[in-house]
This record gives sequence, C-alpha cells and structure tokens, in this order.
Amino acid sequence: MQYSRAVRGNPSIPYLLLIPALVIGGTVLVYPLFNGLYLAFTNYSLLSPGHKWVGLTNFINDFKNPVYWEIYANSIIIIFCSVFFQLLIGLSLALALNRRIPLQGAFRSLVLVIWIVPDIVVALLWMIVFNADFGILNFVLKKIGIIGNFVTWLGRPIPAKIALIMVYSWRGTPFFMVMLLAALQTVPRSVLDAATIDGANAIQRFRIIVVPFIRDIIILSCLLSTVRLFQDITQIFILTNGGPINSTTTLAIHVYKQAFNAFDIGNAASIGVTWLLLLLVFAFFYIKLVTRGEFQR
Amino acid sequence: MNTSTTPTGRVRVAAFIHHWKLGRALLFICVLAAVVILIFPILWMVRISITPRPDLFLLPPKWVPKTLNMSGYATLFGAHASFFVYFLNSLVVALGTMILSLVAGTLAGYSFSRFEYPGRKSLMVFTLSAQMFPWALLVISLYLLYSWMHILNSRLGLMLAHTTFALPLTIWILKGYFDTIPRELEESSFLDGCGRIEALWRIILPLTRPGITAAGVYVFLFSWNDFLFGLTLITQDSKRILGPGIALSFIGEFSYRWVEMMSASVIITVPIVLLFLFMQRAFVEGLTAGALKD
Repeated sequence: MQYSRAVRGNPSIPYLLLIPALVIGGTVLVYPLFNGLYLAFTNYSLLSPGHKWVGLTNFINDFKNPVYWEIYANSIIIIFCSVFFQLLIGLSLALALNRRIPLQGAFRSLVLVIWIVPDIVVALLWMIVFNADFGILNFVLKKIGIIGNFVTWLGRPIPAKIALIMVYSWRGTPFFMVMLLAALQTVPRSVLDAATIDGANAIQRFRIIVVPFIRDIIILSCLLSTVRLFQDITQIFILTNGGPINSTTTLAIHVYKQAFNAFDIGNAASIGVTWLLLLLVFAFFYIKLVTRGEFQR
Repeated sequence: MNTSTTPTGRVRVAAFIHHWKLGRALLFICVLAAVVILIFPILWMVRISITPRPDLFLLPPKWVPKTLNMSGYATLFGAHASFFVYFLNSLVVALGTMILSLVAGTLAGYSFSRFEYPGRKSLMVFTLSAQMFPWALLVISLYLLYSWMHILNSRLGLMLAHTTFALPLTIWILKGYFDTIPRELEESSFLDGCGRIEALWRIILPLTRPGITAAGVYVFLFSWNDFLFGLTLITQDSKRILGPGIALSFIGEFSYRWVEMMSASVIITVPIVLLFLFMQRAFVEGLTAGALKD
C-alpha cells in the first residue's frame, strides 16, 4: 500500500518541485520579458516622469534611422566572422587532438583555460595586446612583415572590427574544441578502419564518415555561440565602447547605451524587441535540435 | 601495473613507434605551435603583471623580465582596497548563486526526469529558450522592477538575476544525470517507507554527485564572469562585483597603469583556473553530455 502510494504519489508533487525555479524565473525572466515588450510601445524615459502608449512610433523611427541598420550589419558581420573562425580553429584542434600525440592532455587543458578566463580579464589583456604603441601584436605583425606601420587597432573602424573578431574567435575556440572532441569520440573506430582498408584516404574518410557523425554538434555549437555573442557587451564596452563612430556598436551594446546612457527606455526596448524576433528564429532551430533525441523516448 | 611489460602493451608501444613517422612529428609541431600562440595572451598577462614599469614600453620586449616587480599586487591590497571589496562581493554572490541554482535546479531537474505531466514538455522547451532572450532588453525591465522594489544595490537581487540565467543549463545538466539513475533504486526505497523527498535526498543525490559538481562549477563560473547584470543592478561602489568594478573604477582611475590591471587580472583568474583544473573532467563531461545524448 505504502509502495504504490509513494510511486503514484500526490499528483501535484512534480509541480511542487518546480516552484522554486518557477518563482525565480517568473520574476527575473518572464515578467521583464513582457514588460520589455510593453515598454517598446511607450515613450518611457528615465529623464521625465510618466509615460504613454505611442504605438509603433519607436519601431518606425528605428527603421528610418540608418544607424539602426548599421548596427544590425555590425552585429551580423562581427558575429558571423567570429563563429566561422571559432569553428575553423576549434575543429582543426579537435581533429589533431583526437589523434594520439604526445602531451595531448596537457594541450587540451591549456586551451580550455582560455574558456574560463573571466570576460573582463579577456578584455583587459587584449587591450594590452592591441595597444598601438607598445602592443605585442603590432610588434609581431611588423616583424613578420604582415603590416608596414603600427596599426591603431581600436581607433579605426575596420581594424576595430577585426580586433573584436580576433578576441571573439580566440575566446570561443575552446568551446568548439570540447564539443567537437566529444563528438569525434562517437565516430566508431571500426567503421574508420574498414574505410581505410577499402582504400579511402583521409579526406574521403572525413567527408563521408566523420562529418555525418559530428554535423549536428557543429550546428548546435554554431547556434549556441551565435546566441552567446549576440549577448556580449563586456568586450565592446571595455575595448571600443562601440566606436569609433559606431563601427563596433552591436545590438547588445546599443540597447544598453540607449537605456542607461541616453535614458531612452522606449527606444532601447523597441530595438531589443526586433532583436528578440531575430533570436526566436535561432531558438526554434536550437530547440528542435536539442529536443529531438529527448522527446522520442 | 606497467602496461608496457604486458604483451598487448608491448605490441602497442611497438606499433606507436612504427607509426611515429614524419607525419606525426609534423602534426605534433603544428599543434604545439597553435597552442603556444593561443595561450600566449594569458602568459603575456602574467608577464606584464610582474614587469618593472620602465620595461613596459620596450620594443622589442624583454620576453623574460630580469627583475621582478610585485608592486602591482601590493597596490591592489594596499591603497586600492576597493579591489578587495569587489573580490569579496563576487565571491559572496557566486557562492549564493551556486546554492540557489543547485537547490532550484535539483528539484526542477528531478521533476522533469521522473514525472510525466501536462505542461512538462513546454516548460522544458521554455527553459532552453531562456538563454536566447536578449539580456540587454531584460535587464532594462529588471532595473525598473528592482528600483521599484528597492532591491537595486542588493547582492541578493544580483544572485537572483544570476540564478535565473544560470538555471536553464543547471536544470538540463542535472536532469541528464537523474535520467541515468535507474528508477528501481528509489522505488525499492519506497518499499522501506521512504517518501519522495527523502528518497531524492538519501538515494539519488549521492549518486548524482558528479552532475552536481559539474553544475556547481558552471554556475560559479557564470556568476564570477558576469558583467551586464552587475553593471546595471548595482550602482554603489561598495557593492560592486569584479567585472564592472574593475571596468568602472580601475580603467578611469588607473588610466594606463597596466601593471595593476594585469595583477588584478591574474588574481581573479587564478582561483577559477585552479577550481577548473581540479574539476575539469566532471565539468566537461557534464556540459557535453547534454548535447551528445541521442
């Protein structure tokens, strides 16, 4: 009797267990989400008391403003390039470290350290590396002949974008390496050996056998990394503060500045809402990918 | 036992030496070069933190400084005691966030793993998408909400914010671990008259320890790393955490005092690198297991 009661239990138990998570999430996530949607349709400002419903005015102003489109372009260029290099370097490292080479474990741990260095430290140390006068990057690049004169990395529009892409690529490489190493371990040795015996060369083996096994993880990692880079304000805040002349202003830093420097909450929220719509597309693919195995049981 | 003395071990070593040809040597050298380049900025940070000030601007740089300069570290704990305050605040907030997230995450993860009920799937999906909502948008409403509730500048308020955004992955990591524990284990404990919560506490949790470790390390790192929430929800210097604290006071105040900045960077990096290296296996397995489970 006792047994079946406990197993079937009180039907409200699963819900009771969720209460702490729901209370915290409801306050800090769900309420701000809907309130943010509401604010996008108001002229709320931290400078003047009271606010009123203004309909689509904020959105119309956004669409008419060339800066708005520039910021979208910046975000997409910087994030797309960063994810590309993260994947390229991460995959190369994973493939190399998946072979048996000396010091394998040490290499892996060293690269992983890059993953856990706090964001603020990443920003500060790259600030020194990029320094135009005594930065080590300029010195090395000039020495090997890639640049003729020292570059003011963070002071000119295109070098500043390149600098950010370098920081993000560096920062995200270990994540890709770990995910792909784990994925590569699911590729059965026997199939690879059989292909070798049948005369497939390394490139054929990679394309025909390895890629199908790791494709989903590649897509998942790219999605996760994209979403994470959209959120980042730390690097931009410290390294360029969005400048020079908006050339490194992305959605996150722009929304932050509109709200907390210009105090124009309504405008900031409207930009946040269009960003939200863009991310929902990513969320859709992400959830489809992650839950596919989960809900089949 | 020394594997190289066993027959299979000897064969393996022989095979390894046989395959150790030019290709492998090249691969090793490439990886070594790549890792050195990747890790270089971190080494450079340590190097700058102990450089005597005049040597800082030398080009070509002195790769290894001849004399050490520990004044950067001394300054942080001396006149600029604010760094120490930020450090403590970060520690308090990160530990608090860890406890809140692990309690809420364990209960929710257990609920998702063990029960079938209406709303379960949609809640799980919503949990996943929580990481995707624009934080810069959410933090605006959160700022207004906190100032209305008079909990701006409250470390507890910051813990709640961190918990919310660390919780989704915590729940999924823990759910993944609960899934691997056979239901028969707790069902037999019901025979002995255990209740649900008692079974969770006494039987399930001890078996989930690797998962809890992984989730705990993840949450700690998340909170330690935060910048946006600490920057907006805390406006009093004495309550600030490390990221915004350093950004707002040091960069303005120290301007180009790189040595102090790098000393601070080393100090806030070392504890988590040590934490990570000890827990690396559990952490990496915990984070990748969710993605690989198919």
